[in-house]
Amino acid sequence: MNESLLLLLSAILVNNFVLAQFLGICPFLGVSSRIKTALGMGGAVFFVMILATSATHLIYHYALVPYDLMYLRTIAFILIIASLVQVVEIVLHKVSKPLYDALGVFLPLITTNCAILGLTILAIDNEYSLVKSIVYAIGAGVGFTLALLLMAGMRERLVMADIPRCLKGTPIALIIAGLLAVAFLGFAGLG
Amino acid sequence: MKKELAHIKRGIFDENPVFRLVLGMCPMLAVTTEAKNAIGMGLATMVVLIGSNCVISLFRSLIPDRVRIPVFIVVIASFVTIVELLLHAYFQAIYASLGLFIPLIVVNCLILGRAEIFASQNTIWQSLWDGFGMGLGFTFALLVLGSIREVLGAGTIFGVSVMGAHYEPFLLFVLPPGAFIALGLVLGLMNMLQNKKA
Amino acid sequence: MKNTKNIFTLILVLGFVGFISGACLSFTYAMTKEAIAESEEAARMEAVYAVLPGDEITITEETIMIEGIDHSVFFGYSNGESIGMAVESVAGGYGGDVTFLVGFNPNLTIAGMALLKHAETPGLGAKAGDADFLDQFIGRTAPVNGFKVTKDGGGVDAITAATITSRTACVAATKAARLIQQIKGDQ
Repeated sequence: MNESLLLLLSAILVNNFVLAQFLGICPFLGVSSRIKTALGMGGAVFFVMILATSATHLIYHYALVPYDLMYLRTIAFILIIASLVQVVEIVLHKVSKPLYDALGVFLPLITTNCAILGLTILAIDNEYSLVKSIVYAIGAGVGFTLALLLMAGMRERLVMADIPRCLKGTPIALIIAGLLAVAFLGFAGLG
Repeated sequence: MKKELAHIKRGIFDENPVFRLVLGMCPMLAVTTEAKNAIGMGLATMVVLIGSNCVISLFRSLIPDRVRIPVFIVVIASFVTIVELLLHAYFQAIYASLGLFIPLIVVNCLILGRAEIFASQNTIWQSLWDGFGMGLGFTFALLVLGSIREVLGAGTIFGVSVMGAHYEPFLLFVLPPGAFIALGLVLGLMNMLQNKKA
Repeated sequence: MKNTKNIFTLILVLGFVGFISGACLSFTYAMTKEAIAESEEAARMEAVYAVLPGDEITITEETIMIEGIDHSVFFGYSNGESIGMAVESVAGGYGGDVTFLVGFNPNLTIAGMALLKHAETPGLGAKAGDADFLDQFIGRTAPVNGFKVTKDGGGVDAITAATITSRTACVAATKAARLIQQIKGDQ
Protein backbone atom coordinates (compact mmCIF):
# COMPACT_ATOMS: atom_id res chain seq x y z
CA MET A 1 0.00 0.00 0.00
CA ASN A 2 2.79 2.33 0.95
CA GLU A 3 4.57 1.63 -2.29
CA SER A 4 1.48 2.45 -4.30
CA LEU A 5 1.03 5.73 -2.51
CA LEU A 6 4.64 6.63 -3.18
CA LEU A 7 4.25 5.69 -6.82
CA LEU A 8 1.17 7.91 -7.08
CA LEU A 9 2.86 10.86 -5.42
CA SER A 10 5.86 10.43 -7.63
CA ALA A 11 3.86 10.42 -10.85
CA ILE A 12 1.65 13.32 -9.82
CA LEU A 13 4.15 15.63 -8.19
CA VAL A 14 7.78 14.62 -8.16
CA ASN A 15 8.02 13.34 -11.71
CA ASN A 16 5.00 15.12 -13.10
CA PHE A 17 4.51 13.87 -16.62
CA VAL A 18 4.18 17.32 -18.14
CA LEU A 19 6.36 19.57 -16.02
CA ALA A 20 9.21 17.17 -15.27
CA GLN A 21 9.16 14.53 -17.96
CA PHE A 22 8.02 16.64 -20.92
CA LEU A 23 5.26 14.30 -21.96
CA GLY A 24 1.98 15.66 -23.24
CA ILE A 25 3.26 19.12 -24.12
CA CYS A 26 1.21 19.61 -27.28
CA PRO A 27 -2.21 19.29 -25.61
CA PHE A 28 -0.76 21.08 -22.59
CA LEU A 29 -0.10 24.16 -24.71
CA GLY A 30 -3.09 23.74 -26.95
CA VAL A 31 -5.94 22.99 -24.59
CA SER A 32 -4.99 24.84 -21.46
CA SER A 33 -6.52 28.22 -22.17
CA ARG A 34 -9.83 27.54 -20.47
CA ILE A 35 -10.45 25.61 -17.28
CA LYS A 36 -13.51 23.77 -18.56
CA THR A 37 -11.82 22.35 -21.66
CA ALA A 38 -8.72 21.56 -19.63
CA LEU A 39 -10.81 19.49 -17.24
CA GLY A 40 -12.56 17.70 -20.10
CA MET A 41 -9.30 16.90 -21.85
CA GLY A 42 -7.68 15.80 -18.62
CA GLY A 43 -10.56 13.48 -17.91
CA ALA A 44 -10.50 11.94 -21.37
CA VAL A 45 -6.74 11.43 -21.26
CA PHE A 46 -7.00 9.96 -17.75
CA PHE A 47 -9.53 7.44 -18.95
CA VAL A 48 -7.54 6.45 -22.05
CA MET A 49 -4.36 6.17 -19.96
CA ILE A 50 -5.88 3.58 -17.65
CA LEU A 51 -7.32 1.51 -20.48
CA ALA A 52 -4.15 1.81 -22.57
CA THR A 53 -1.82 0.81 -19.75
CA SER A 54 -3.87 -2.28 -18.97
CA ALA A 55 -4.23 -3.34 -22.59
CA THR A 56 -0.58 -2.76 -23.52
CA HIS A 57 0.65 -4.55 -20.40
CA LEU A 58 -1.38 -7.62 -21.27
CA ILE A 59 -0.49 -7.60 -24.95
CA TYR A 60 3.21 -7.09 -24.20
CA HIS A 61 3.52 -9.87 -21.66
CA TYR A 62 1.19 -12.40 -23.22
CA ALA A 63 1.60 -11.82 -26.93
CA LEU A 64 4.93 -10.13 -27.59
CA VAL A 65 7.35 -11.53 -25.05
CA PRO A 66 6.47 -15.23 -25.49
CA TYR A 67 7.21 -14.95 -29.21
CA ASP A 68 10.31 -12.74 -28.92
CA LEU A 69 8.47 -9.92 -30.69
CA MET A 70 9.41 -7.11 -28.30
CA TYR A 71 10.62 -4.98 -31.18
CA LEU A 72 7.00 -4.71 -32.32
CA ARG A 73 6.22 -2.87 -29.11
CA THR A 74 6.08 0.66 -30.54
CA ILE A 75 3.81 -0.25 -33.41
CA ALA A 76 1.52 -2.46 -31.32
CA PHE A 77 1.15 0.10 -28.56
CA ILE A 78 0.32 3.02 -30.83
CA LEU A 79 -2.29 0.94 -32.65
CA ILE A 80 -3.87 -0.06 -29.34
CA ILE A 81 -3.96 3.57 -28.26
CA ALA A 82 -5.42 4.72 -31.60
CA SER A 83 -8.16 2.10 -31.34
CA LEU A 84 -8.97 3.02 -27.74
CA VAL A 85 -9.28 6.69 -28.67
CA GLN A 86 -11.66 5.76 -31.48
CA VAL A 87 -13.78 3.81 -28.99
CA VAL A 88 -13.76 6.69 -26.51
CA GLU A 89 -14.83 9.05 -29.28
CA ILE A 90 -17.78 6.85 -30.22
CA VAL A 91 -18.84 6.35 -26.61
CA LEU A 92 -18.51 10.03 -25.77
CA HIS A 93 -20.54 10.98 -28.83
CA LYS A 94 -23.39 8.81 -27.56
CA VAL A 95 -23.11 9.52 -23.84
CA SER A 96 -22.26 13.20 -23.63
CA LYS A 97 -22.57 15.14 -26.87
CA PRO A 98 -21.80 18.56 -25.26
CA LEU A 99 -18.46 17.30 -23.99
CA TYR A 100 -17.79 15.67 -27.34
CA ASP A 101 -18.39 18.99 -29.07
CA ALA A 102 -16.35 20.96 -26.54
CA LEU A 103 -13.31 18.77 -27.08
CA GLY A 104 -13.78 18.89 -30.84
CA VAL A 105 -10.65 18.22 -32.82
CA PHE A 106 -8.63 17.58 -29.67
CA LEU A 107 -10.28 14.23 -29.09
CA PRO A 108 -8.64 12.34 -31.98
CA LEU A 109 -5.44 14.19 -31.13
CA ILE A 110 -5.25 12.24 -27.87
CA THR A 111 -3.73 9.49 -30.00
CA THR A 112 -0.67 11.63 -30.63
CA ASN A 113 -0.40 12.63 -26.99
CA CYS A 114 3.09 11.46 -26.16
CA ALA A 115 2.10 11.19 -22.52
CA ILE A 116 -0.02 8.12 -23.23
CA LEU A 117 2.51 6.28 -25.39
CA GLY A 118 5.25 7.40 -23.02
CA LEU A 119 3.32 6.07 -20.03
CA THR A 120 2.77 2.65 -21.59
CA ILE A 121 6.44 2.32 -22.51
CA LEU A 122 7.63 3.52 -19.09
CA ALA A 123 5.37 1.02 -17.32
CA ILE A 124 7.01 -1.78 -19.31
CA ASP A 125 10.57 -0.46 -18.90
CA ASN A 126 10.12 -0.15 -15.14
CA GLU A 127 8.81 -3.71 -15.12
CA TYR A 128 5.65 -2.83 -13.19
CA SER A 129 3.05 -5.48 -12.52
CA LEU A 130 -0.42 -4.95 -13.95
CA VAL A 131 -1.68 -3.43 -10.70
CA LYS A 132 1.33 -1.18 -10.32
CA SER A 133 1.00 -0.08 -13.93
CA ILE A 134 -2.59 0.95 -13.34
CA VAL A 135 -1.61 2.89 -10.22
CA TYR A 136 1.13 4.55 -12.26
CA ALA A 137 -1.44 5.39 -14.95
CA ILE A 138 -3.76 6.94 -12.39
CA GLY A 139 -0.91 9.05 -11.12
CA ALA A 140 0.08 10.08 -14.63
CA GLY A 141 -3.50 11.00 -15.51
CA VAL A 142 -4.02 13.02 -12.35
CA GLY A 143 -0.66 14.74 -12.78
CA PHE A 144 -1.43 15.59 -16.38
CA THR A 145 -4.85 16.99 -15.48
CA LEU A 146 -3.35 18.91 -12.59
CA ALA A 147 -0.74 20.53 -14.81
CA LEU A 148 -3.39 21.38 -17.38
CA LEU A 149 -5.70 22.91 -14.76
CA LEU A 150 -2.93 25.00 -13.23
CA MET A 151 -2.00 26.32 -16.67
CA ALA A 152 -5.62 27.01 -17.56
CA GLY A 153 -6.16 28.89 -14.32
CA MET A 154 -3.14 31.08 -14.96
CA ARG A 155 -3.89 31.63 -18.63
CA GLU A 156 -7.46 32.69 -17.91
CA ARG A 157 -6.00 35.38 -15.68
CA LEU A 158 -3.38 36.31 -18.24
CA VAL A 159 -6.02 37.46 -20.71
CA MET A 160 -6.30 40.63 -18.64
CA ALA A 161 -2.57 41.25 -18.42
CA ASP A 162 -0.54 43.48 -20.66
CA ILE A 163 1.89 41.23 -22.51
CA PRO A 164 4.44 42.37 -25.09
CA ARG A 165 3.21 41.49 -28.58
CA CYS A 166 6.04 39.12 -29.40
CA LEU A 167 5.38 37.05 -26.29
CA LYS A 168 1.64 36.62 -26.78
CA GLY A 169 0.36 33.09 -27.14
CA THR A 170 2.82 30.23 -27.03
CA PRO A 171 5.91 32.07 -25.76
CA ILE A 172 4.26 33.38 -22.60
CA ALA A 173 2.57 30.03 -22.07
CA LEU A 174 5.96 28.36 -22.14
CA ILE A 175 7.46 30.85 -19.72
CA ILE A 176 4.58 30.29 -17.32
CA ALA A 177 5.01 26.56 -17.70
CA GLY A 178 8.63 27.08 -16.78
CA LEU A 179 7.66 28.89 -13.59
CA LEU A 180 5.21 26.10 -12.79
CA ALA A 181 8.00 23.60 -13.40
CA VAL A 182 10.23 25.47 -10.95
CA ALA A 183 7.50 25.16 -8.34
CA PHE A 184 7.21 21.45 -9.02
CA LEU A 185 10.98 21.05 -8.73
CA GLY A 186 10.40 21.76 -5.09
CA PHE A 187 8.67 18.39 -4.76
CA ALA A 188 11.79 16.58 -5.83
CA GLY A 189 13.21 14.34 -3.18
CA LEU A 190 9.81 13.58 -1.68
CA GLY A 191 10.18 9.94 -2.62
CA MET B 1 15.95 22.30 -58.77
CA LYS B 2 14.47 25.54 -57.52
CA LYS B 3 11.26 23.87 -56.42
CA GLU B 4 13.18 21.30 -54.43
CA LEU B 5 15.38 23.84 -52.69
CA ALA B 6 12.28 25.85 -51.86
CA HIS B 7 11.27 22.98 -49.59
CA ILE B 8 14.43 23.50 -47.56
CA LYS B 9 13.90 27.22 -47.19
CA ARG B 10 10.32 26.57 -46.19
CA GLY B 11 11.22 23.90 -43.67
CA ILE B 12 13.88 25.96 -41.95
CA PHE B 13 12.28 29.40 -42.00
CA ASP B 14 8.75 30.02 -43.28
CA GLU B 15 7.15 26.86 -41.93
CA ASN B 16 9.65 25.72 -39.35
CA PRO B 17 7.91 22.85 -37.53
CA VAL B 18 8.82 24.12 -34.10
CA PHE B 19 9.05 27.87 -34.39
CA ARG B 20 6.13 28.44 -36.77
CA LEU B 21 3.90 25.37 -36.60
CA VAL B 22 4.51 24.67 -32.89
CA LEU B 23 4.82 20.93 -33.43
CA GLY B 24 7.20 18.42 -31.90
CA MET B 25 7.26 20.19 -28.57
CA CYS B 26 7.92 17.12 -26.44
CA PRO B 27 11.28 16.14 -27.96
CA MET B 28 12.12 19.85 -28.31
CA LEU B 29 12.07 20.28 -24.55
CA ALA B 30 13.29 16.87 -23.53
CA VAL B 31 16.36 16.14 -25.64
CA THR B 32 17.81 19.62 -25.97
CA THR B 33 19.98 19.39 -22.85
CA GLU B 34 22.97 18.87 -25.13
CA ALA B 35 23.61 19.90 -28.71
CA LYS B 36 24.78 16.37 -29.50
CA ASN B 37 21.43 14.88 -28.49
CA ALA B 38 19.63 17.55 -30.47
CA ILE B 39 21.35 16.54 -33.70
CA GLY B 40 20.77 12.85 -33.03
CA MET B 41 17.07 13.35 -32.48
CA GLY B 42 16.75 15.71 -35.43
CA LEU B 43 18.39 13.31 -37.84
CA ALA B 44 16.43 10.32 -36.54
CA THR B 45 13.19 12.22 -37.00
CA MET B 46 14.25 13.35 -40.47
CA VAL B 47 14.95 9.78 -41.56
CA VAL B 48 11.50 8.68 -40.37
CA LEU B 49 9.91 11.70 -42.02
CA ILE B 50 11.54 11.11 -45.40
CA GLY B 51 10.78 7.39 -45.24
CA SER B 52 7.14 7.74 -44.30
CA ASN B 53 6.59 10.62 -46.74
CA CYS B 54 7.97 8.57 -49.62
CA VAL B 55 6.06 5.38 -48.83
CA ILE B 56 2.78 7.18 -48.23
CA SER B 57 3.22 9.19 -51.40
CA LEU B 58 4.04 6.02 -53.32
CA PHE B 59 0.78 4.38 -52.31
CA ARG B 60 -1.34 7.50 -52.07
CA SER B 61 -3.80 6.47 -54.76
CA LEU B 62 -4.26 3.04 -53.25
CA ILE B 63 -5.00 3.97 -49.64
CA PRO B 64 -8.75 4.21 -48.99
CA ASP B 65 -9.75 7.45 -47.38
CA ARG B 66 -11.59 5.83 -44.49
CA VAL B 67 -8.53 4.01 -43.19
CA ARG B 68 -5.84 6.50 -44.10
CA ILE B 69 -4.95 7.53 -40.54
CA PRO B 70 -4.39 3.97 -39.28
CA VAL B 71 -2.36 3.22 -42.41
CA PHE B 72 -0.25 6.35 -41.89
CA ILE B 73 0.31 5.34 -38.28
CA VAL B 74 1.43 1.84 -39.26
CA VAL B 75 3.86 3.20 -41.85
CA ILE B 76 5.29 5.81 -39.49
CA ALA B 77 5.54 3.36 -36.61
CA SER B 78 7.35 0.89 -38.84
CA PHE B 79 9.98 3.43 -39.80
CA VAL B 80 10.38 4.46 -36.19
CA THR B 81 10.93 0.84 -35.21
CA ILE B 82 13.51 0.41 -37.97
CA VAL B 83 15.35 3.54 -36.82
CA GLU B 84 15.10 2.29 -33.22
CA LEU B 85 16.66 -1.06 -34.13
CA LEU B 86 19.43 0.50 -36.24
CA LEU B 87 20.35 2.99 -33.54
CA HIS B 88 20.38 0.29 -30.89
CA ALA B 89 22.65 -1.87 -33.02
CA TYR B 90 25.11 0.67 -34.40
CA PHE B 91 24.85 3.84 -32.37
CA GLN B 92 24.47 2.62 -28.82
CA ALA B 93 25.54 5.94 -27.28
CA ILE B 94 22.87 8.00 -29.05
CA TYR B 95 20.30 5.26 -28.41
CA ALA B 96 21.03 5.46 -24.67
CA SER B 97 20.94 9.28 -24.55
CA LEU B 98 17.68 9.66 -26.45
CA GLY B 99 16.05 6.75 -24.64
CA LEU B 100 12.28 6.93 -24.40
CA PHE B 101 12.03 9.68 -27.02
CA ILE B 102 13.04 7.44 -29.91
CA PRO B 103 9.80 5.45 -29.92
CA LEU B 104 7.99 8.71 -29.17
CA ILE B 105 8.97 9.96 -32.63
CA VAL B 106 5.89 8.07 -33.78
CA VAL B 107 3.58 10.55 -32.06
CA ASN B 108 5.44 13.61 -33.29
CA CYS B 109 2.55 15.49 -34.88
CA LEU B 110 4.94 16.81 -37.50
CA ILE B 111 5.25 13.44 -39.24
CA LEU B 112 1.56 12.59 -39.25
CA GLY B 113 0.86 16.16 -40.28
CA ARG B 114 3.15 16.07 -43.31
CA ALA B 115 1.71 12.72 -44.35
CA GLU B 116 -1.79 14.10 -44.25
CA ILE B 117 -1.10 17.54 -45.71
CA PHE B 118 1.61 16.81 -48.23
CA ALA B 119 2.67 13.26 -48.92
CA SER B 120 -0.81 11.97 -49.54
CA GLN B 121 -1.32 14.53 -52.27
CA ASN B 122 2.02 14.97 -53.96
CA THR B 123 4.59 13.03 -55.96
CA ILE B 124 7.23 10.88 -54.33
CA TRP B 125 10.04 13.17 -55.41
CA GLN B 126 8.38 16.27 -53.96
CA SER B 127 7.43 14.39 -50.81
CA LEU B 128 11.02 13.32 -50.35
CA TRP B 129 12.18 16.93 -50.50
CA ASP B 130 9.36 18.03 -48.21
CA GLY B 131 10.47 15.46 -45.68
CA PHE B 132 14.08 16.56 -46.05
CA GLY B 133 13.22 20.25 -45.70
CA MET B 134 10.96 19.81 -42.71
CA GLY B 135 13.39 17.40 -41.10
CA LEU B 136 16.19 19.88 -41.60
CA GLY B 137 14.07 22.64 -40.09
CA PHE B 138 13.25 20.48 -37.09
CA THR B 139 16.93 19.61 -36.61
CA PHE B 140 17.81 23.28 -36.92
CA ALA B 141 15.30 24.23 -34.21
CA LEU B 142 16.53 21.45 -31.93
CA LEU B 143 20.11 22.55 -32.49
CA VAL B 144 19.34 26.18 -31.67
CA LEU B 145 17.69 25.35 -28.37
CA GLY B 146 20.15 22.56 -27.59
CA SER B 147 23.13 24.82 -28.09
CA ILE B 148 21.65 27.61 -25.99
CA ARG B 149 20.80 25.25 -23.16
CA GLU B 150 24.16 23.49 -23.27
CA VAL B 151 26.23 26.69 -23.42
CA LEU B 152 24.32 28.42 -20.66
CA GLY B 153 23.60 25.37 -18.57
CA ALA B 154 26.91 23.52 -18.74
CA GLY B 155 29.35 25.89 -20.37
CA THR B 156 30.08 23.50 -23.20
CA ILE B 157 28.96 22.89 -26.75
CA PHE B 158 29.20 19.35 -28.10
CA GLY B 159 31.20 18.63 -24.98
CA VAL B 160 33.80 21.29 -25.70
CA SER B 161 34.12 23.93 -23.02
CA VAL B 162 33.45 27.37 -24.45
CA MET B 163 32.73 29.60 -21.51
CA GLY B 164 36.07 29.40 -19.77
CA ALA B 165 37.00 27.91 -16.44
CA HIS B 166 35.42 30.60 -14.35
CA TYR B 167 31.94 30.24 -15.79
CA GLU B 168 29.46 29.07 -13.20
CA PRO B 169 26.96 27.05 -15.22
CA PHE B 170 23.44 28.37 -15.04
CA LEU B 171 22.07 24.97 -14.10
CA LEU B 172 18.46 25.98 -14.52
CA PHE B 173 18.81 25.64 -18.27
CA VAL B 174 19.48 21.92 -18.27
CA LEU B 175 16.56 21.34 -15.94
CA PRO B 176 12.89 21.21 -17.00
CA PRO B 177 12.00 24.79 -16.04
CA GLY B 178 14.91 26.11 -18.06
CA ALA B 179 13.71 24.19 -21.09
CA PHE B 180 10.30 25.84 -20.98
CA ILE B 181 11.65 29.30 -20.32
CA ALA B 182 14.42 29.08 -22.93
CA LEU B 183 12.01 27.89 -25.60
CA GLY B 184 9.49 30.56 -24.64
CA LEU B 185 12.12 33.27 -24.95
CA VAL B 186 13.43 31.92 -28.26
CA LEU B 187 9.89 31.81 -29.68
CA GLY B 188 9.31 35.32 -28.42
CA LEU B 189 12.50 36.44 -30.15
CA MET B 190 11.40 34.77 -33.37
CA ASN B 191 8.09 36.56 -33.17
CA MET B 192 9.83 39.86 -32.59
CA LEU B 193 12.02 39.34 -35.66
CA GLN B 194 8.98 38.32 -37.68
CA ASN B 195 7.04 41.40 -36.58
CA LYS B 196 9.92 43.68 -37.46
CA LYS B 197 9.97 42.27 -40.98
CA ALA B 198 6.22 42.82 -41.41
CA MET C 1 -7.63 8.58 -52.50
CA LYS C 2 -10.09 5.89 -53.37
CA ASN C 3 -13.47 6.56 -51.82
CA THR C 4 -14.64 3.05 -51.22
CA LYS C 5 -17.18 2.08 -48.62
CA ASN C 6 -16.68 -1.61 -49.02
CA ILE C 7 -15.69 -2.73 -45.54
CA PHE C 8 -14.14 -5.88 -46.88
CA THR C 9 -11.71 -3.85 -48.98
CA LEU C 10 -10.86 -1.68 -46.00
CA ILE C 11 -10.00 -4.64 -43.85
CA LEU C 12 -8.04 -6.18 -46.70
CA VAL C 13 -5.98 -3.02 -47.12
CA LEU C 14 -5.28 -2.74 -43.43
CA GLY C 15 -4.34 -6.38 -43.24
CA PHE C 16 -2.04 -6.03 -46.24
CA VAL C 17 -0.33 -2.96 -44.83
CA GLY C 18 0.10 -4.71 -41.52
CA PHE C 19 1.56 -7.74 -43.22
CA ILE C 20 4.10 -5.76 -45.26
CA SER C 21 5.06 -3.74 -42.21
CA GLY C 22 5.46 -6.88 -40.13
CA ALA C 23 7.62 -8.46 -42.81
CA CYS C 24 9.90 -5.42 -43.09
CA LEU C 25 10.27 -5.20 -39.34
CA SER C 26 11.05 -8.88 -38.85
CA PHE C 27 13.65 -8.57 -41.57
CA THR C 28 15.28 -5.55 -39.95
CA TYR C 29 15.14 -7.25 -36.57
CA ALA C 30 16.80 -10.38 -37.88
CA MET C 31 19.54 -8.27 -39.46
CA THR C 32 20.23 -6.20 -36.37
CA LYS C 33 19.68 -8.77 -33.63
CA GLU C 34 23.31 -9.76 -33.36
CA ALA C 35 24.64 -6.25 -33.60
CA ILE C 36 22.27 -5.16 -30.82
CA ALA C 37 23.41 -7.95 -28.52
CA GLU C 38 27.03 -7.05 -29.25
CA SER C 39 26.44 -3.36 -28.56
CA GLU C 40 24.75 -4.09 -25.26
CA GLU C 41 27.53 -6.45 -24.22
CA ALA C 42 30.23 -3.97 -25.21
CA ALA C 43 28.53 -1.20 -23.23
CA ARG C 44 28.31 -3.43 -20.20
CA MET C 45 31.90 -4.60 -20.35
CA GLU C 46 33.23 -1.11 -20.98
CA ALA C 47 32.33 -0.17 -17.43
CA VAL C 48 33.88 -3.32 -15.99
CA TYR C 49 37.22 -2.67 -17.69
CA ALA C 50 37.09 0.87 -16.39
CA VAL C 51 36.68 -0.04 -12.73
CA LEU C 52 39.23 -2.84 -12.53
CA PRO C 53 42.94 -2.08 -12.20
CA GLY C 54 45.45 -2.86 -14.91
CA ASP C 55 45.39 -2.71 -18.68
CA GLU C 56 45.67 -6.15 -20.20
CA ILE C 57 43.21 -8.14 -18.14
CA THR C 58 40.81 -10.94 -18.82
CA ILE C 59 37.43 -10.83 -17.21
CA THR C 60 35.16 -13.67 -16.24
CA GLU C 61 31.64 -13.24 -15.00
CA GLU C 62 29.77 -15.32 -12.48
CA THR C 63 26.37 -15.12 -10.91
CA ILE C 64 26.64 -15.58 -7.18
CA MET C 65 23.71 -15.73 -4.82
CA ILE C 66 24.09 -13.75 -1.65
CA GLU C 67 21.27 -13.56 0.85
CA GLY C 68 18.82 -14.85 -1.69
CA ILE C 69 19.66 -12.34 -4.44
CA ASP C 70 21.64 -13.13 -7.55
CA HIS C 71 24.58 -10.82 -8.15
CA SER C 72 26.73 -10.46 -11.23
CA VAL C 73 30.32 -10.59 -10.10
CA PHE C 74 33.22 -9.89 -12.41
CA PHE C 75 36.65 -11.40 -11.74
CA GLY C 76 39.68 -9.82 -13.33
CA TYR C 77 42.83 -11.78 -14.12
CA SER C 78 46.24 -10.74 -15.38
CA ASN C 79 48.62 -13.55 -16.32
CA GLY C 80 46.53 -15.99 -14.36
CA GLU C 81 46.60 -13.94 -11.18
CA SER C 82 43.52 -12.39 -9.68
CA ILE C 83 43.83 -8.63 -9.85
CA GLY C 84 40.43 -7.69 -8.56
CA MET C 85 36.69 -8.12 -8.51
CA ALA C 86 33.80 -5.89 -9.48
CA VAL C 87 30.18 -6.02 -8.51
CA GLU C 88 27.03 -4.08 -9.31
CA SER C 89 25.41 -2.24 -6.45
CA VAL C 90 21.98 -0.64 -6.39
CA ALA C 91 20.89 2.07 -3.97
CA GLY C 92 17.84 4.30 -3.77
CA GLY C 93 18.45 7.73 -5.23
CA TYR C 94 16.65 11.01 -5.79
CA GLY C 95 14.68 9.93 -8.83
CA GLY C 96 14.70 6.19 -8.31
CA ASP C 97 17.20 3.38 -8.03
CA VAL C 98 20.76 4.12 -9.02
CA THR C 99 23.10 1.36 -10.17
CA PHE C 100 26.84 1.63 -9.67
CA LEU C 101 29.61 -0.76 -10.64
CA VAL C 102 32.35 -0.90 -8.02
CA GLY C 103 35.72 -2.52 -8.65
CA PHE C 104 37.96 -3.75 -5.84
CA ASN C 105 41.63 -4.57 -5.54
CA PRO C 106 42.60 -7.89 -3.92
CA ASN C 107 43.16 -6.02 -0.65
CA LEU C 108 39.55 -4.81 -0.75
CA THR C 109 40.36 -1.16 -1.46
CA ILE C 110 38.26 0.36 -4.18
CA ALA C 111 39.90 0.24 -7.60
CA GLY C 112 37.26 2.14 -9.47
CA MET C 113 33.62 3.14 -9.49
CA ALA C 114 31.28 3.75 -12.39
CA LEU C 115 27.70 4.92 -12.70
CA LEU C 116 25.62 2.51 -14.75
CA LYS C 117 21.99 3.40 -14.53
CA HIS C 118 20.19 6.31 -12.99
CA ALA C 119 17.25 8.66 -13.14
CA GLU C 120 18.92 11.56 -11.38
CA THR C 121 18.77 15.19 -12.38
CA PRO C 122 21.00 16.00 -15.33
CA GLY C 123 23.69 18.46 -14.35
CA LEU C 124 23.21 17.76 -10.68
CA GLY C 125 22.72 14.21 -9.45
CA ALA C 126 23.89 12.89 -12.79
CA LYS C 127 27.31 14.27 -11.86
CA ALA C 128 27.60 11.22 -9.64
CA GLY C 129 28.93 9.62 -12.80
CA ASP C 130 31.74 12.14 -13.22
CA ALA C 131 35.30 11.09 -12.52
CA ASP C 132 35.66 14.24 -10.41
CA PHE C 133 33.29 12.78 -7.88
CA LEU C 134 33.87 9.04 -8.16
CA ASP C 135 37.68 9.16 -8.19
CA GLN C 136 37.69 10.08 -4.52
CA PHE C 137 36.55 6.55 -3.69
CA ILE C 138 39.63 5.01 -5.26
CA GLY C 139 42.07 3.53 -2.80
CA ARG C 140 39.65 3.67 0.11
CA THR C 141 38.30 0.87 2.21
CA ALA C 142 34.76 1.00 3.48
CA PRO C 143 34.69 2.33 7.07
CA VAL C 144 32.97 0.23 9.74
CA ASN C 145 29.68 2.10 9.50
CA GLY C 146 29.92 2.71 5.80
CA PHE C 147 30.95 5.57 3.54
CA LYS C 148 29.35 8.86 4.48
CA VAL C 149 29.38 12.38 3.07
CA THR C 150 31.08 15.12 5.10
CA LYS C 151 27.67 16.44 6.14
CA ASP C 152 26.99 13.13 7.84
CA GLY C 153 30.38 13.03 9.50
CA GLY C 154 32.19 11.02 6.88
CA GLY C 155 35.03 11.66 4.47
CA VAL C 156 33.27 11.79 1.13
CA ASP C 157 32.96 15.18 -0.57
CA ALA C 158 29.41 15.52 -1.79
CA ILE C 159 28.46 17.09 -5.12
CA THR C 160 27.29 20.66 -4.65
CA ALA C 161 23.49 20.77 -4.53
CA ALA C 162 23.27 17.00 -4.99
CA THR C 163 23.69 15.69 -1.48
CA ILE C 164 21.07 13.00 -1.87
CA THR C 165 22.68 11.45 -4.93
CA SER C 166 26.08 11.73 -3.23
CA ARG C 167 24.68 9.81 -0.27
CA THR C 168 23.31 7.22 -2.68
CA ALA C 169 26.80 6.71 -4.07
CA CYS C 170 28.12 6.18 -0.54
CA VAL C 171 25.42 3.62 0.22
CA ALA C 172 26.13 1.82 -3.04
CA ALA C 173 29.89 1.74 -2.41
CA THR C 174 29.33 0.41 1.11
CA LYS C 175 26.91 -2.24 -0.15
CA ALA C 176 29.41 -3.32 -2.79
CA ALA C 177 32.19 -3.57 -0.20
CA ARG C 178 30.02 -5.78 1.99
CA LEU C 179 29.15 -8.00 -0.95
CA ILE C 180 32.79 -8.42 -1.93
CA GLN C 181 33.72 -9.18 1.68
CA GLN C 182 31.11 -11.90 1.77
CA ILE C 183 32.23 -13.33 -1.54
CA LYS C 184 35.86 -13.36 -0.44
CA GLY C 185 34.86 -14.87 2.84
CA ASP C 186 33.01 -17.65 1.10
CA GLN C 187 35.89 -18.49 -1.21
